[in-house]
Amino acid sequence: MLWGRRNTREAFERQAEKVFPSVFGTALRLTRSREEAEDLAQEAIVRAYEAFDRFDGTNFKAWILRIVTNLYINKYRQRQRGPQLNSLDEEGVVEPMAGEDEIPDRILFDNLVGAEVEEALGKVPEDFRIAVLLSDVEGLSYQEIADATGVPIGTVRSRLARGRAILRKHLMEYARREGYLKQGANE
Amino acid sequence: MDRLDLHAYVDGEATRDERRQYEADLADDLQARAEVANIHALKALVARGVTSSEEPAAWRSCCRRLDELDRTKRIEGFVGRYSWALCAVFMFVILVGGVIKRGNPSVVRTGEAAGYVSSMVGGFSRAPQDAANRQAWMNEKLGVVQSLVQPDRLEVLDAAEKVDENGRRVACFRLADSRGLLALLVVTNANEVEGVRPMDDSLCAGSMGDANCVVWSQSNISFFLIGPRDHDELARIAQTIRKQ
Repeated sequence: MLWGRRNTREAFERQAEKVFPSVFGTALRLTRSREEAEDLAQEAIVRAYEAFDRFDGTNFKAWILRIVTNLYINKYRQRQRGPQLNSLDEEGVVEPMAGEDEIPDRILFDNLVGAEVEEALGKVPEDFRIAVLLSDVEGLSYQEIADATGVPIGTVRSRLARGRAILRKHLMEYARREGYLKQGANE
Repeated sequence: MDRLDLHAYVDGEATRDERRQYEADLADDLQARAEVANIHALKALVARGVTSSEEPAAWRSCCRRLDELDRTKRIEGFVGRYSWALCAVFMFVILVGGVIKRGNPSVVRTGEAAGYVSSMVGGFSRAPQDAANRQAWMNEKLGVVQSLVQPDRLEVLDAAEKVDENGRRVACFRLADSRGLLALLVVTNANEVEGVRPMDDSLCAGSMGDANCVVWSQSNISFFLIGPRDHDELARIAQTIRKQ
């Protein structure tokens, strides 16, 4: 039985170490506090280890990110200090599509670096930010995001679209401030 | 085209039939094609711009937590598996210890001592009044114990003696002083008394029924000074009748 437990530990550690950067990164972007991110990541790893015998062997990363997200929603969100960026109305106004004669985003975004992206992400309301992080940073499918956040797939789709639109808006504002984009050019 | 469908198309979440339909629609919709390109660009920017968080210190901290968890589970597993055996071992040790202690002939318990006193109630003989006979009577009652104790420092009223079923010789003296009656119980072949608590290096305090007692042991003989007094007073009287 001791040998069996050692094997379980080794198997878990092999998989967990590979995905730990994603675990910690997600925790950091959710909590926006290094200290809380360490606590959240550690607790997620411990919970995952305790539940490892129930893991179905499919997508370990998606499974553990689900644990991180659930822990964050159930425990850490309540302890967050500072003003909460509450999610906007789910059915709120959707930004219009880009015009066909506007400067493509890929050209504008060439000038942006990681710090600006992280800052803009931080301004996206929480529920939308979670959807963007899990999709565009961690590569989870809609179903996996729905399982991680406990909402229907339809809600995941609309949160993702809204989150990306808000993120794009903040990046455009930054680009305008830095002179990459003339005022009024993309309105 | 529906905006959410564009996102699903870019994210690879559309079915094969849906993809075919979207591609047909996109062929005729320049604005939608521009939006698809923008979604691609945004996804690429986020994937590129968000840095990977290699945190070796945080990972090591997690491993330490897992080590603690494993250690706890090992102990719990051991205790859980062998809890019945451990309980049986502890019970056995307690029982054996109790039997050894109970079986030790040189131990006398306060309850036993009280039994001696009550069993001698009808056998007390009055101390002679004249000095010569009184001394002989005392020597007879005390026997070898007279080198250890001198109850006649107080007034000796009467005494009784017996030999119990184990061959242990027991004597009881009823004494009196200005404050009232006391009893001195002498139990031979007893170098330890159970059921009392230490007062100092040589004396122990206990109780016998409604009365207090002060106890001491010397040369395999135990002495019980019994009376309706507090322990400190009994201890002072004991020091007067002991021959140290």
